[in-house]
Amino acid sequence: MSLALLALALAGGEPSAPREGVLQIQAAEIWTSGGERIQDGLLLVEDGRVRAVSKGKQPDPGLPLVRHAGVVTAGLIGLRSQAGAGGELQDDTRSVLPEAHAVHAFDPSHPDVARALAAGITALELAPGPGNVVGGLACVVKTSGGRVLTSEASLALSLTSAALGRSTGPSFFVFGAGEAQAQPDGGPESSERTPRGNREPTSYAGALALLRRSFAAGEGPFARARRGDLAVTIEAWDRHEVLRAVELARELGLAGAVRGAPLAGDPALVQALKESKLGVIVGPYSSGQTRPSLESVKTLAAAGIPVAFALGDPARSPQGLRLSAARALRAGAPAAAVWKALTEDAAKLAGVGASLGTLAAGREADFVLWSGDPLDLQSRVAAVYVDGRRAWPAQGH
Amino acid sequence: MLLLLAPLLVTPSPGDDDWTIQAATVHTVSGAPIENGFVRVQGGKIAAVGKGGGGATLECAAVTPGLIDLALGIDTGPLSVEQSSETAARLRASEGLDLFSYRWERALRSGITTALAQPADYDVIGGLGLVLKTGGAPTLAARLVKPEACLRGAFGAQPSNGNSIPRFQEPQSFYFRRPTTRMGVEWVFRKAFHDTLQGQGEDDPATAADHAVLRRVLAGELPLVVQAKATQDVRTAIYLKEEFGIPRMVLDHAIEAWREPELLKRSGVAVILPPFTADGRHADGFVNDSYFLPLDAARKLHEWGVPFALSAHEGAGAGARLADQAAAAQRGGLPLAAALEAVTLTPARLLGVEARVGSLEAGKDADLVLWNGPPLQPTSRIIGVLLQGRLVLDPRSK
Repeated sequence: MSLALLALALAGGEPSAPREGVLQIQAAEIWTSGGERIQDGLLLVEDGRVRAVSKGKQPDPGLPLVRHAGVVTAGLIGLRSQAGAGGELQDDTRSVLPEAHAVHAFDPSHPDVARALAAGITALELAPGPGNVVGGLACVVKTSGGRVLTSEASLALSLTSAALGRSTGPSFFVFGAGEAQAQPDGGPESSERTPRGNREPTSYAGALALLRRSFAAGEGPFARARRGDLAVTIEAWDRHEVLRAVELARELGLAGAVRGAPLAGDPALVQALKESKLGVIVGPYSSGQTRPSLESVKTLAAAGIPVAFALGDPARSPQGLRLSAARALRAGAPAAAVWKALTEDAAKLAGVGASLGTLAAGREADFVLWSGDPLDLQSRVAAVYVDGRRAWPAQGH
Repeated sequence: MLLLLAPLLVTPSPGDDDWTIQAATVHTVSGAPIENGFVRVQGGKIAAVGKGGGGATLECAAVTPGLIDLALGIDTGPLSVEQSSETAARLRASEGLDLFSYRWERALRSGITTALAQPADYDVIGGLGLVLKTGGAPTLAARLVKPEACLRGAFGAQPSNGNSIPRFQEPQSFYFRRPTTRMGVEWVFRKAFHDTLQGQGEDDPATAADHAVLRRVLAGELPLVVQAKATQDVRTAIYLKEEFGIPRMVLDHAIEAWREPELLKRSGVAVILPPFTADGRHADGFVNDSYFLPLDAARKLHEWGVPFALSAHEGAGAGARLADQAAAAQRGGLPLAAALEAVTLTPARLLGVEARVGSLEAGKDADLVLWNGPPLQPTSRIIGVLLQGRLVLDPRSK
């Protein structure tokens, strides 16, 4: 089928019979991946997947065609989203919940999801909160059509103070100060803490012991993570927490990402991360972010460490994803690296790098039509396509 | 063939970290002070110590070994100790360290080059302490001196603070537990050692790992460093040492150890003194206790032959400097040589790291403190610090 289509496409000129699920997008510029930009490009989509991206090719007159004077890119990916999950992603009853699936908190018809779509975000990673040493399994979902790409994208771990000394429930006399950080939003970059919860573990050493015990048991997600079949995301904020996470990943052979780490650009951390199989999910960046924190995208990218931005919605507008990117750009990160962080690296760190993040033959046909350079905040979203279908603005608008 | 071309002898060329420090007085601590002496530093180690010498690259009035603090207290607070159980002997303080804390740098610039890091005192038996350098790259590998240097415990009211009996609430918190009193703290200690000797409860891997550590304490491989502030805590600790035959015990924060000369001498415990206060009083913010530490406490311990170290308890936020503690102890009558030993060689010996640090001898780490006058005096200042041959505070900069 695809071969036949490819042959047709190569032949050109000859009009084909219109078929369901086939679409051509002709654009002034198509960004296929981090660095590659095709002028006068033609994107061919069939059955929700990219069939081909070609340069300077005439569209097939027999197939539906959308002409766009701006830029077409892969859809943005929103990591660590809580869209529509309404606080259902943090279960305080236990410290270790390997089989908790974030997908059960996903409401595809929630307005938060539609807002992400309108911001050019075609996929969201919903992840269990940072309050548990083992939070559960993150999922990756589409922002239109309600499709769950995978309900087991990565295993959420936490080695930050929010998971230590936590309480099993609200109480007037026992509480964890760390709980204030349960929804990290870009800071603080270092702080004194006095957790006084009633749940094990209360310490870094206790958390490591618990994790080693869990992974040694060698069942379910733990075994898959050790085999390399399942990515992990480790919450780690302060610099020493990041080093601890890297050390644990090395010890257990885990791959994935560190999440948080405002100061991930510290030379000691860059060196450790470089030798690990971990990337970094930074941000979301706020206006109060410090310079060393903003510069970490530049430093990490230069060291070849995959880096991506957390979304932090719905507390923050999903439009803020591009704002985080703009702040990293202003702090000196190259445009190609920042674009990768929004798409390709984000997909990789979410554990779905084989399906999302680039526009290449066989990838999911999730893409955005921008009025201009998407890294320029003046550019607007003209249209968003998910699974090869126009999702925003809705048909008929 | 190429291998043969490689130089067979590599002679180290004088590098950035090679120094000859010349001082009016070299305080070696291991031997008598040397007037008009030198210390030669090469490749991070002390290459030679002697009289005279030329070609000085650094000059000062006095040079001493880098200071050692066994109660520096730079930890991650409550996050450094696992409070879900009162005994966590198996857990390591090394896993809860924050080597990025600015406080390490502050300690280093105040002359402390080696320190003991331990879990904070929220448990009866908190875990394993380690000895490390206060500077260098912020990784354990770069700073480690001894990975398992002691077992940390605490007597007194502090470890039981916060525990309670469920009176009106459901017992859903692990803080509803023993101990709630000094009696209970002693009971937890006794039970841990008793169960270790009996091999009880070792079906549980965590308990078995705890007991393995306690056996090393009973065999004298690991010193047991315990907080014992008040007189009754000093007595309880020593009774326990004698009952179970614990070979090496160090009483930390032992404010009132000076009240029990006979027990100290008889038992062979060592002592870490907390910082001196202006009026000798020590209030405890944690619990409703107060204690008294006279200025001559250090002199008394010295005269009784009790090994003791001075400490700054930097982490307590007092801002007290270790060098100032040695000055205060001298005001109480402690001779300079003994004061110097209490902040260098004695703490090194108590933790078994004297082969590397604690005195100025060839082959030891080049951790040095340079002074603008007689060391450990209120009128003198630290003008230079070397850590493993690296100049971290430059005496030439004004």
